[in-house]
Amino acid sequence: MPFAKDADRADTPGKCSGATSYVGDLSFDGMLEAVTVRSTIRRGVIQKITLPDLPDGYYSVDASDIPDQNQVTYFQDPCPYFAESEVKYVGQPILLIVGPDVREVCKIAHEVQIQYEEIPAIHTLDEALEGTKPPLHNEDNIYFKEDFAYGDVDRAFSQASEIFETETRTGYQEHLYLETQGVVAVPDSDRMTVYASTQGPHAMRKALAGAFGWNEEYFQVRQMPLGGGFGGKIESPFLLAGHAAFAAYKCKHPVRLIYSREEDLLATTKRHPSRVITRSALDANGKILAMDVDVVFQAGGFALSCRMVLDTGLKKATGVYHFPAARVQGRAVATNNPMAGAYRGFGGPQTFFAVETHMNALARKFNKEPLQFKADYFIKQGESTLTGGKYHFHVALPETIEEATKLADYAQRKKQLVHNGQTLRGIGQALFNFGAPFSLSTKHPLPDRYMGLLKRKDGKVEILSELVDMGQGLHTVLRKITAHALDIPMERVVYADADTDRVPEASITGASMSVVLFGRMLKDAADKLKPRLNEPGEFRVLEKIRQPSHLQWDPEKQQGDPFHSYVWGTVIAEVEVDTITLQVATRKIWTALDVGTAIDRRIVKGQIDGGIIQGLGYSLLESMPPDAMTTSLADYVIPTSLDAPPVESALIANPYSPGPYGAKCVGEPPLVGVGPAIADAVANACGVEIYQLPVSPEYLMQKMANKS
Amino acid sequence: MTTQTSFTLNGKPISTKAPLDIRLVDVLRGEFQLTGTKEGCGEGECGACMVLLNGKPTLSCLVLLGAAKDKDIITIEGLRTTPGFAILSQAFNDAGAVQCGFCTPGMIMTTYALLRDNPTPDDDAIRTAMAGNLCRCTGYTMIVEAVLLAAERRGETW
Repeated sequence: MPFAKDADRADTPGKCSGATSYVGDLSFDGMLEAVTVRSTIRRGVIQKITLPDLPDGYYSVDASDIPDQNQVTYFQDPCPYFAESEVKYVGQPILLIVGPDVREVCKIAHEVQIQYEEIPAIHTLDEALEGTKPPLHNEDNIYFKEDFAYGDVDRAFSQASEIFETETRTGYQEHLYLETQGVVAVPDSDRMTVYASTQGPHAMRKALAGAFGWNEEYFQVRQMPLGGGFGGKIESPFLLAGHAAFAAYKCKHPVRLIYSREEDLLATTKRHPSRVITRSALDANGKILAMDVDVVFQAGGFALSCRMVLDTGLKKATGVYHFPAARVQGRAVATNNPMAGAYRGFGGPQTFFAVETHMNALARKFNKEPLQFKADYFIKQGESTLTGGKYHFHVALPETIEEATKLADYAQRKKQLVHNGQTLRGIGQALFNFGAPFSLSTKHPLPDRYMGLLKRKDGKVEILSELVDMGQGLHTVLRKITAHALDIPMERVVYADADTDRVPEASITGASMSVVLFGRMLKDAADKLKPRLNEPGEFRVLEKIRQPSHLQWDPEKQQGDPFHSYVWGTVIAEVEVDTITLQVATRKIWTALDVGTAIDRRIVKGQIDGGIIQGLGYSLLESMPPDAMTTSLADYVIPTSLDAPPVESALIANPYSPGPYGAKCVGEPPLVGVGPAIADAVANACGVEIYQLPVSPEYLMQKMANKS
Repeated sequence: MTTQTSFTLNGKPISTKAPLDIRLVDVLRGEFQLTGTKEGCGEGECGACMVLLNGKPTLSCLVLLGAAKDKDIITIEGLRTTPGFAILSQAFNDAGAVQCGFCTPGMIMTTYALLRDNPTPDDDAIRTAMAGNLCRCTGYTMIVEAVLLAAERRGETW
């Protein structure tokens, strides 16, 4: 067993002792502090901005201070750094106040007066579709739409003896990384260094270059240790980096911009709220002839990454099933609500909640054990994907079901009494797969991006990669892979936080692709380095990023293999519902997951435990009405140690040959099945179908009232 | 008129001229550059800014400087030189209780006080004691395991 021993993480001692510096811990001579002045309305046109008199050494910075473009050029769709005329959401940045004393800066920022002419705002996903308010984007408020289908769906529906329909809804989820967003920009005579809490150092450098109209080489982005990311430090940091850099350029001083928790909750991206209508065409025996899924994701005033999030969500929308025919269509709509963007699971939590809830409700309707009912439709190796590609590798779904049901003693627990004094008890399950990485065109060469190794004079091997350890343990895992390939102790392999001056461009870190894809490139680089390891001096081995050879993907037609590989999993949850307060407490969660080969079981367990409890928060606690009033941790409640039940997990070994030593991914998959499993458990406990996340006491009360 | 506020910080008597209505977390992080104490929320919900004030786990974002007068304050920088810290740090390492690490100094401060007052806590006692320290990465189970490990190993260290 090459990876049997858990590795000590190099970052742990400094994190325990508080010696690790995050971006907010940095300080430079002459450093100024910046505070953002934001829109206080949802939608309108700025009429007048009145600044108080600024004391000496204090500045305001706005769109007129941007050297070139007031656009985050990294995004496909427009997104300005500062609002110039129209504002589209509460919290949209309008200007900065900058100065030496942060208390004074805050005071001045509060005194800035902005007059608006308000425009009727689009408050909900339904309003965006109805078109009763002036449209925000084009005529139909749709940023992006897409559909996929195979088989004759219309014919199946016309011949069906019954059509079963469910409508599921999910709300916002805030990443709630413990470290709020932050950037420090330090100007030099002819360059700018930006220290950032970001998941994408090179992407940030490109965005800065776009805004300044300078060559990328004029910017150095240094990624500081991240106090959590979960997808939340991909999009928002572009804005902060721009803001701090514009201010540093104007004031000729280092500028620190650190969000308060209030700002972070108000103004950074969150998981897209969703509405999914799932219809299945049933024959006279209750067999599913076809499934038709209509997905709407609610984006904010700017599109940001909604194309990609919706796209991957749609490609996962038929779950672990292959039906005789299926159609999936999706739209991402514009609203004047808090901004939505990338978040662990990337569209999957919404669509898996929809499909698993639909299947579980169907099983209950037919009075069948759901795991048996669903088994008739399981994807098998060699079958085609929604997009006409192929499931190339072994489908370990049945093994995960067997292992999870055994761990949970599912059959016995299911028979136990539902009523127990004041509580109702229930057990539920959900099945999922998680495709990752998403495929890029296999017809055209990828742009030049690299993973690399530097053999140093001191005999150490340094990993040259911009991939970010945001707490998930990536650096340790990649060091372990490299050390194993080189057959040297892990201590000889080092991996510093990214510095765009030193490491080549690879990718934003996210979408569960780092180990499975880039880890393989690193292993290949190590294999090339190994025979040269004892050569004197310093040299690099770079490995160009490429996709695995089994992959076929045509992005123009959206046909082929949408993902490289699939993680398979089963999650089971047991809940107790208080019949008086209708609060749901989760007693225990069991999961079995096929991650290919686990490179480090302790790190994998950390991802599973953490992903599951984040999923539990999404399912039961975390709620953010789109009114911009949820701006404290007293209002936005995440699980504490008392809300988090024990998690028991098992790994199914199903090595994936293109991955490094057979590894797939683990970052996102544990989260996606938790919502439908908890909803199924509550449904079984209470005898009502659950079609909404979070399952709040208020929602359950309505459901129970309608039942009686 | 400037005011001097004196207190004991990590075993040393110190004084500051900072305004009395400034938060203790700002004095620690700003004037004394003790950045191991983190700010995660500024409203007493997350526990990242936990320090010991006269031995009691205290959220330094909720304490104004005036309230620290003549008190004994220990931050993670003070704790990390003690033999107890080595045991705690090793236990957090061995249990895999550290991911992004932003909550960790606060978690360690709380654990230190918990084990001092209750040397053999069970799972429930640990979860209750840690309920004021949020962690978004681990799901808490490995943190609870770290505390159990530290309890097992600490002997008479503190």
